[in-house]
Amino acid sequence: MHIVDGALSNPVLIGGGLLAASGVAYSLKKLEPEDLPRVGVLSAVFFVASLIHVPLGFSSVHLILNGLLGIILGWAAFPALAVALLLQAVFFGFGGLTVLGVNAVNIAFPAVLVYYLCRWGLSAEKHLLAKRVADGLFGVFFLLTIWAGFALYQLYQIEGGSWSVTVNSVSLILFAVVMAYGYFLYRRGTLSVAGFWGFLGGSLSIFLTAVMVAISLALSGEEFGKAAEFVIVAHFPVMAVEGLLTAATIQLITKVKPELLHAVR
Amino acid sequence: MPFDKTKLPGLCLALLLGVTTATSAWAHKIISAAYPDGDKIEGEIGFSNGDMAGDVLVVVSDADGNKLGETTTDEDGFFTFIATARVDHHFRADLSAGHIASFVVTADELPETLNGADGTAKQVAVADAGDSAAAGMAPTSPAVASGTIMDEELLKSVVGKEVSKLRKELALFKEERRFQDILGGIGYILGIFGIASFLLGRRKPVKDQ
Repeated sequence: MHIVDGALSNPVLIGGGLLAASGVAYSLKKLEPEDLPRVGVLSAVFFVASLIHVPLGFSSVHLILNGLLGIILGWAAFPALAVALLLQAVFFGFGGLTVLGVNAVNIAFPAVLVYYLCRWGLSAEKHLLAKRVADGLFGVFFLLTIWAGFALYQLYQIEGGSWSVTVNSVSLILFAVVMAYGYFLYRRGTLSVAGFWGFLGGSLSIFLTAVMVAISLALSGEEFGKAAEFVIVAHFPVMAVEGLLTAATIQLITKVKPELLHAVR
Repeated sequence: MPFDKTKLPGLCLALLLGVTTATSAWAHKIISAAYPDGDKIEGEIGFSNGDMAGDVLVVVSDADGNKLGETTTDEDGFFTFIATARVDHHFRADLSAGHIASFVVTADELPETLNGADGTAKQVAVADAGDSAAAGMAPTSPAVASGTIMDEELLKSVVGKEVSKLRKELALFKEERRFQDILGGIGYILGIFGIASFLLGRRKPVKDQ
């Protein structure tokens, strides 16, 4: 998920830097001093969570948690992620200093989108439109799993049952099962609205980040279809895990400390 | 209760720290290195979790970007490139999906017997394969037929081989992330936001007045 130095062309780097700088500036303007401890703690959570790399499938994957950061922090996800990414680049060489802007935008922009979507979904839980949007998102994810299944099947025909194909297939099936079961519980009213939107937000932000990474690579000359397929299929395990994690966290927060979700604007 | 405020994120952090210490599966970053051995440059490209990048095209160019040649890694991520000129060799491999390996072998790491960048030729007489095999050398290592230089070349080749092992270990060691680095990073983050909240808090009362 962290693009490294030298992979992108200069216009993409400069554009990403400008976008990230304006995002951080806008969010700092809105930020209240009492929100800062929360931003700092979640920034540290992201810093640690994305250092744990699990070798899965095509490459190694790690938690990103940008859905959770987005839902809790909103626009403040920009400075939180920028600081953590800077320290990761300096300390561990993940990403790099020149691609810092692009990486920050790729991870923070989906967080902000998810913030608007999930906050709206959570506040308008009784509205028919929110239910329709939830159904629509579920449909998109469903089509996505079918597409990823086809992509994996094609790879299976080339590579045979290699380790990476097996791992990705298993995680894809897990994701599909978890999603379908969650949707079933949601429709029956057993699963809370918060949990369902948390799941949608957690996995949607990873998906959007993967798409944005593919777009950054495509703008620098790599073939979009290939890059997108690679990045998205490799992140299905993360989508599944983060969806569950975000669902559990958001559900807990709405029960234990609902004001956390209304604190930062 | 002031304790409640910190409980949830604190729990998350503690859990994550626990996982961090338990797992040693670091990966994702690219490790690449090249070890010159005479005019032969051996290199390897892989990921920091130990996976090697097999069957990858490596493009070699000089400092000005002129292409010197290209080579392909084998299944274990190793490649060899025979240098023909004593100039800086820039290696670059595209591992797709945003992973680029690039590294440099500078001119002074290569033997002086190679042609310089200005084209001054200093040809080397290469010993025949029988001699070098009898001396216990790798058959591809260049050796000079004359006695004293022969010993020097042999020594260089043997020492180079031992040092290259050490270099590999050092490269791996550099990639290892230690627990105190992670703690230090968390400290930096909390410090940065602490200073920010201090500065914002100082400005706030002025705004209110």
